[in-house]
Order: sequence, then structure tokens, then C-alpha cells
Amino acid sequence: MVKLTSSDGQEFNVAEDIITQSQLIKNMLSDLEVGEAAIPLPNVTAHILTKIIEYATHHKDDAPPPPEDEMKAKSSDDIDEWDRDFIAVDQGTLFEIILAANYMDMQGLLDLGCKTVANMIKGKSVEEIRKTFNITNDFTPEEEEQIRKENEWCEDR
Amino acid sequence: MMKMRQQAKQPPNLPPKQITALPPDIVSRIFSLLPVPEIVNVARVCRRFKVLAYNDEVYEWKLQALGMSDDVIDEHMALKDSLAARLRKLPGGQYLPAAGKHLLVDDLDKKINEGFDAPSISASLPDAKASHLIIGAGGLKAALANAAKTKTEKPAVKQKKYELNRPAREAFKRVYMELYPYYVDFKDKSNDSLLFRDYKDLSEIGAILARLVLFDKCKFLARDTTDISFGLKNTVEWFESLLLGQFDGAFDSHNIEEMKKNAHAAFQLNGGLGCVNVFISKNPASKLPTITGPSVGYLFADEFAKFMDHTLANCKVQADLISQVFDPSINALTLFINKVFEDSISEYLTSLLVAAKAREGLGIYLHTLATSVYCCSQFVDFIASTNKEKVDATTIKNHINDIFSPYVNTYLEQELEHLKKIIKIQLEKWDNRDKKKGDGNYLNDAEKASAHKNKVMNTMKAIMFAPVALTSKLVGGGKKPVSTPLLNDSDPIDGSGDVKDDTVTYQLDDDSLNSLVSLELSLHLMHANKESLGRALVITASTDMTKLRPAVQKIFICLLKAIGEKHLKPAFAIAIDRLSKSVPADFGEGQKMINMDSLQFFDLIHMGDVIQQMVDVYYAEDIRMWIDENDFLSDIIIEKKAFERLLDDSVAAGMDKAIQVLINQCEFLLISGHALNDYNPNVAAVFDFKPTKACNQVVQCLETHVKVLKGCIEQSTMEVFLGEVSVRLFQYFMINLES
Amino acid sequence: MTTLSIEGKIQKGAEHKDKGNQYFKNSEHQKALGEYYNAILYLTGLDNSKISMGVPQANPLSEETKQEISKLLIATHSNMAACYLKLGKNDKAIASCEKTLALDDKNAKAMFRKGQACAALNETGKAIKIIKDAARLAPQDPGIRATLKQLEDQEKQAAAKANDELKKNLQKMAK
Repeated sequence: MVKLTSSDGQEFNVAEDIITQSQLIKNMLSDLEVGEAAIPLPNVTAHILTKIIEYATHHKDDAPPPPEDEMKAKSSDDIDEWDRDFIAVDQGTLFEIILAANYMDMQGLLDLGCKTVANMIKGKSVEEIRKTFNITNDFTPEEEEQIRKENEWCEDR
Repeated sequence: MMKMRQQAKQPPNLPPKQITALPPDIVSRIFSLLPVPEIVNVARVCRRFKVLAYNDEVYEWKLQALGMSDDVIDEHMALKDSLAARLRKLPGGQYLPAAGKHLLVDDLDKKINEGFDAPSISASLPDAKASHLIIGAGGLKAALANAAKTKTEKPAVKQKKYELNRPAREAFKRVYMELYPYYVDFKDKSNDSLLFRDYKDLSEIGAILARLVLFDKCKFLARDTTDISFGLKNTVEWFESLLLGQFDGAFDSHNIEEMKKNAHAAFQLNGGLGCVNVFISKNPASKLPTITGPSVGYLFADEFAKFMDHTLANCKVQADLISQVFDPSINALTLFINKVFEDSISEYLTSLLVAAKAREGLGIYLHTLATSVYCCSQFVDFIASTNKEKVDATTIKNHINDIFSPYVNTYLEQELEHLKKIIKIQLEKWDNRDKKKGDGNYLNDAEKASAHKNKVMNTMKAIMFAPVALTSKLVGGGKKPVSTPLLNDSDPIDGSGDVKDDTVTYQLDDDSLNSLVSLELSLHLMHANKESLGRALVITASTDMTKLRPAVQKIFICLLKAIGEKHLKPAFAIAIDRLSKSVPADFGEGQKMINMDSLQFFDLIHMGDVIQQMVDVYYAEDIRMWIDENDFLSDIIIEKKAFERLLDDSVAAGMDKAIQVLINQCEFLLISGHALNDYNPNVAAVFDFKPTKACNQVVQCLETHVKVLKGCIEQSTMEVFLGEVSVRLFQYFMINLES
Repeated sequence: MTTLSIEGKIQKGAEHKDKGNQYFKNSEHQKALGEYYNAILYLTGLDNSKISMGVPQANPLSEETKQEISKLLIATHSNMAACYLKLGKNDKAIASCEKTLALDDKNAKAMFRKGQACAALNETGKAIKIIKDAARLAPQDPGIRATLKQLEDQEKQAAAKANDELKKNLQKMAK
């Protein structure tokens, strides 16, 4: 069992074979004699840590992902049902999960988060994207037009 | 210990995270998952997104997936930068028209990036004279090919991470713009598509098709592309069969140019193995000579060598053709040779070996196997060394090993079985011979003894270390006539063929007395052992070097055991037994003063010593280099030491008895020669201080023994022997004098 | 325990790093690693703390803060690499060096350590290439030059030895 402390002071007990999906924790455990001490995670709140542990528990029997296959096409279409339900959270939580997965070095969860965001962008117009993510436009209309022009080559007629 | 709380709510005082909270590399990662036409959408959202959408991470994997490596990208960018910069310098350069249809150069003059850094130009422009740039070269491929030829310096200034116009995007843009129109054109067409209208050269078409296939796999577009994929796939299939058909026709009409064109196009399309396979299957090299009837004995091996020669000649012709037709990177020659081995050679080999084993017996089979392994590895080496086109010798050798492996796996056991059979036959022969007792004349004469020993050793060396020919073809004949018949010491052949009876001898035993041990036998055994060793070396060296040492060890140990335990040990046992039953003899005048049994025993020691020396020479010449002499725990060192100990122990055991016999003999002589009062003569008698006759005899007896023993036992043993004898004699005299 | 502020985290991170350095000086490499890990836990993942010059962001972290965090992280990863080298964990040393170089690609020390780790793994060819780059970044450093020369000599000897072995074996076969 491994002890983790979230940024807001909450302690969590997790089985080692579950939490080692986090490369960060895995490396620590393999290098150090952690023993009884709790590992502090000052950049992950309890709320998010709970979700992380939930994901890791469900995926604990997964084979480790193969090294990134450069030749394979990357897409965001291959999310399975459980994952889809798991990641159906509000935006804020989604981004926190992504940040935490990045921080704790969990490729599977990070991938899932990225794919989800990509799916939120797909098919939307520029204005719709801005609305979805609450982003202010800092381009002038001429600039924006310029960008559109210089990317005409991508257009799918 | 606190348990996991229920879903804790987000602390209310912090605002929820925005997408802007994500670090830039993650945002780029997200963007890289978007379909290409939608990247512009995020680029228009805000400045930050634009920079991140232009970031390399979004494009690099795409370039990799399209088969464009980093080097090509860098060179391409260097090319583009230098080309652009040079062109910009020319008057009117900014109005440079699109060169050819396919090299689309950006509007060089335009400011693509308001307020952001300008793209950095290569710090040092390549020298105009030295450059191989072809302005207006048609086609992306040509530019890339030229870039590959030119060794341009990479831009000295490495662009900062988040600046615009990173090379990956530019490179991807070029590729995309080139491929996109052809790609979408496949929606409803196949061989009438835009691609075939624009390009006529087969190789170019092949290359572009290959790229399009990759493009398709990447699914860059947002919409459903199933119909395009379908059209593309059909086109590729059609095109490939077109190439193969043309290649086939060109092969038949010996049109090398045509063959080369089609082969190259196929290579560009998908590696070109289709054409290679057509080539191989149409090749006359795969003809199989039949195994003619009368092959017998060693001719089996010769047949194989002949076959390999024939194949080699053929392969050389084909190799020439291959180098003219096929692109070197396909390694067509290697594939061809592999196929030749697989099809014709392995079949021939199998039937040959089966015939050898069935008709000729184990010995010939082993010989044929060894020869064929050797021939094959020679074949590969020869091909690899004399070919301008690179041949992957290792792959071929592995292939050969696979073909041979069923035989090689059982080889060592069979070899040992064969050896044991020979040993058994030899030993039986020895046991069943006419047992004659020689009279060991020569042993009394030390000179004659050492002459005989020399003769033995020389004969042995000549036999053992003459070059053994595996076949008369491979190593130019000239073997010692004596050796050939020995190779027939295998199973007696059932009637067919003309087999020599193994009556050849080396005349080693004729002068020697001993009926218990045979130098001749030992030499035969050693010779057979050496042949096995030779075969084992050839086979393991060509197939699996790790098996070399164990094989050598096992074979040599077999010999040691045969000579040591099966021959010498029983011989000594018999001799010692006789010694212990020995009775002192009454010697007449002129007879040798030595008991027959002792003589036989001493002679045995002598022979054993010679045999040991022979074994040592064999070991030193042929065995030692293959093993690790310092490994005291290895079987072979242990066995060798055991062998030496066997002799020493036997000598020691017998020595005791021999001494006893000698003492008995001396006592007998003294008793029979001396009257009771010879020791205590009358005080009044005249003293004649000459030694008595009996004493003389004793002395003679002792001398004889010493002479016989000289040169065949160690100094220390000799000393012990003499010491013991003296002590006991002295004791005897004391007893008698006292009484 | 209240969640620490950014400054608080930076401070904690710096403390752990210093503790780690102490342990390292006393050759207590294992304990040093522990402290370095803790430092990393505090310093990474600070929102957008990755160096991203020139990218406009809606984020309060100032340039100085970002530089400070980056400096601490570079030092920490670099020292971790040193610890791993001493502990003989060469793979991990290389990984730490690469993390350092990702933050500062001109860090000669990190590149040198990476080369040393490769050499320890007997990847002499690769090591030589890497150390050459390090030497280019820090031409004055005598240690780097010395190690480079040593490795090049080693490589030459190994090649010569392999050649001899091959020749010997061929001669044996020819007998």
C-alpha cells in the first residue's frame, strides 16, 4: 500500500500495483525506500486525486501501452464506453485531470483527456470554439482573415 | 489512517480551470489530434492558439507517418530557405512564378507574420557554384532528391521553440498540397485519375501511390473517406499487376531496361518484392539434378560438391542480371539465393542424406553431412566476396542453418554413436585375434626399444596429421594411401559396392611382445577419433560455434574412455593378476634372468607409456586449441587427468607385485644356489671373496629388470622400486646371516 | 493544511533541493534522491510553469518566477542524474539528463553526464558522440576532454582486439 497526500491535506491509501500506472510514483518507489511515509502531491487536489485513483483502479490490468508508434495515425475516435463515462465531467475538472495526469505522468489518462478535448473542438466553427472554452478573441478582423488565407491549403473542398 | 473520502467538491474559492491553464505542449498535442482542415479553426481563435497550432508537435508525427524522416525535412528546409533567399536576391525574385506545377514556393515577399519574428534564414548560403540546385525542377520528388544529394549545412540558428514557420509545418504543407489533389481525385476513379494524367513515369507514379496510401491511413480529413480509400486501393492493385505483367514480359524477352524500369517502379510502390518473386520463380536456376544410382561411399559427398559448383555458376550469372535490374536496397540477390537454397538445394540435400544413411551407413552419412555443410558455407562466402552487389551473408547463413538444423541437432549423438561402434568393432577384433605370445626380444635392448618407439611415434604422426581430404575435389587429393581404407571402419556394407576389407595395419605390434595391449588398435582408434573431430569442427563451425567446445570434448573423452578403460585397464588387470600368481622360475644358463610375467608387466608399462604419449601428441596438436585448459572443472580436463591417473595407478599397483616377484625370484636363486652354510662358512675354509654363482645370478637378474624398466617408468618410481628391492634383499640376507 | 501558494511551493521545492544537495555532499545518494523527488513534486505542474517564451498567456506567473522555477528544476534533475550515476542506475541517469536538457539544451554538465552513463552501459560509440557535443558546449572543461580521449582510446583498442580475435579464429578454421 502506498500513501499519498493531496494538496489540501487529505491522505489516500492506494495499492502499489494500481498507483504504479503513474510513472512518477513508479520511479519514486523503485528508487526510494518510501516505507511508511506519505508521498506529497502538492499540485493535485483531493477531488482530482480521487478521479485519478478511480481511473487507475479500473485500468490496473491493462497491458502497458506500447511505445509511441510513430507510423500509426493518431486519432480521437477510439474511446471506449467506460472511459467516455468517466471523462464526462465539467470542463474545469477535465482540465484539472489532464494537468494531474501530466504531472503524475500517466500516459493513458493524459491521452484520454486530450482526445476528449479534441472531440470537443471537432466540427465546431471558430466562434463556437471560443464560446465553448470561454476564450477572448485577440485578433483584428484583418489578422484573422490573414490566417484563414494562409491556411487555405488545408481546406477540404 | 483516513479512508478515501467521498467525492470531495472543488474548493469553491478557486475559479474552474480554463483551457488556457494547460501547458503549451499539451495544447499542441490536442491540436495534433484534429483533422487537418480544422486546424485553421483553432488557429483563428486567439494568438496563443495560433502559435500552438503552428507548432512542430502538430505536424511532426504526420510527416513521420508519411515516411518523411527528420533529415529529409531539415534538408528540405535548408533547401527551401537557401533557394528562397537566393531567389529573393534576384531582381523580380518576389514575383517568381510557380516552378513547374508542383514546386509551390511561398510568396516570398509577403509578411506572413505581423508582429511575430520573421522566419530565420540560413545563416550561410551555399556557394552558388557548388550548389546542385535546379531552379524550377518539376516535382517535389526532384527537389527532395536533389536535397539528398546536396550536403547543405543545417541552418546555423536553431529556431526558438514557439516561433512561427517551424520547419515541420512548412514541410507538411508542401507534402499535403502535393498529395491532396491526387488523393481526393480517387473518389470516383481509379486508373483514369488525375495522377495518371499528370505523371507518366512509372517510378514516380509508384512513389506517389505509396505516399498516398500512407496519406490515406492517416485520415487527415474530417469527412468520411471510405470511397476514396477504396478507389485508391483498387488503383494500387491494378498498378502493381500492370508492373508485374510488364516485368514478366520483359523477362521473357530479355529486355533488361524494361525489367529495370518496372522493378524500380514496383520498388517505389511497395518495396518491389513482387517483381523479385516473379524473377525467382521464372528462373532456370532451380533445376534439380537427380541422384544417380552408383554413388557409393565418398562419392556421395563428391556429388554434392559438383552440384554446388553447378549452382554457383548459375547464381553468378543471375547475380549479374539482378544487379542490373533491381534496386540494391531490396537485397534481391540475398532473396534469390535464399530461395535457391530453400527450393533446390535443400531438396537435393535431403534426398542425398537420406540415401547416404539408408544405403551406406552411418560413417558415410556423417561424412556426407560434414561435406555438405562445408560446401554450403564455402558457397555463401564465395558469393559474398565476389559480388559487387551486397549480399547479406548472415541472412543466408541463418537460412542454411535452418535447413540443416534437423540434421545438425542429431549430429553429435550420431557421431558419438559411430565412434562407439568403431571402438567396439576394434576391441572385438582384438579380443578375437590369435593370441600369440611373442618373445619380447627387443625389450632387452634399450636401443632397439627406443628405435621401435620412434617408429611408432612417427607412423602415428604421419597418419594423424596428414591432411585429411573430405573429398578429393575440394582439397586437392594427395592423401596418404593408408588413410583411406581406415575410413571404411564403419558398418560393414551389405554386399553392394566394393568395399575394402580393413586389413590394413601399420605393423606396429609386430615387434612387440605384448599380447595384452595393441599400439595398432590405439592408433586406429585415434585416427577414427580424429576424423570425427574433423567433421564435428566443420559442422559446428558453420552452424553453431557454441557447440564447438562441447563437441570436441565429447569426442575426445570418447577416445580416452575407449583406450583407458576398455583397453588399458583390463590389460593391466590381467597382467597384475598373473604377477600375483607368478612362481619363481629356474633359469638355465644363457636365459634371460627375468620372469615371464614380470617381463610382460614391464612391457605393458612400456606400451602404456607409448600409448599415453601418442594420446598426448594428438591432444596437443588437435584438441588443445579448442578447449579452455584452465577450466579444471570441465569434463575433458577431468577425463584426461583420470586417464593419466589410470596408468599411474595401474603401474603403482603392479609395481608392488613385481617387486615381490623379483624378490621371490632372487630368494629362490639364492636358496637354490647356496648351501646352508654358505652364509656361515667354516672358519677354517679358505676364503674366496669372489661373489658366488647364485649371487651373480641375482645380480644379473636385477640388472635385467633395471634395463627393461629403464625409459618407461618415472624416475621416482624407479627409485622406489630400487629402494624396495634393496631393503628386502638386505633383510633377507640379514635373516640368513643371523640364522 | 491549506493548499500552498505558488511561492510557498517554490520555497518548499527549494528547501528539498538544498536538503538533497546536503545528502549528496555526504555521499548519502539514496537519501539525496528522496529529497530531489520531493522537490520535483513541488516544482512541476505549477500552472504553465514550463518555459514558454513568446507565447502570450492569461496567466499570472511572472517571468522571474518562471525563471526561478526553471532554474530549480534544472539543478534538481541534473543532480538526480549525478545520484543515479553514483548508484549505477545508468538508464535513470540518462532519463534525468534528458529532462535537464529539455529545460536547457545547452547544459554541458547534463550532456556530459549523459555521455558518462552511456559509456557505463558500454555504448561507447554513442557516448563519444554525446561527449563531443558536451565538449563543444564547454570547450574549456578539462574533465570532459579527458574523458573523451579515454573513451576514444578504449574504442580503438576494442576494435583492434576484435580484429585479432577474428583473425585467430579464421586461422584455426583454415587448419
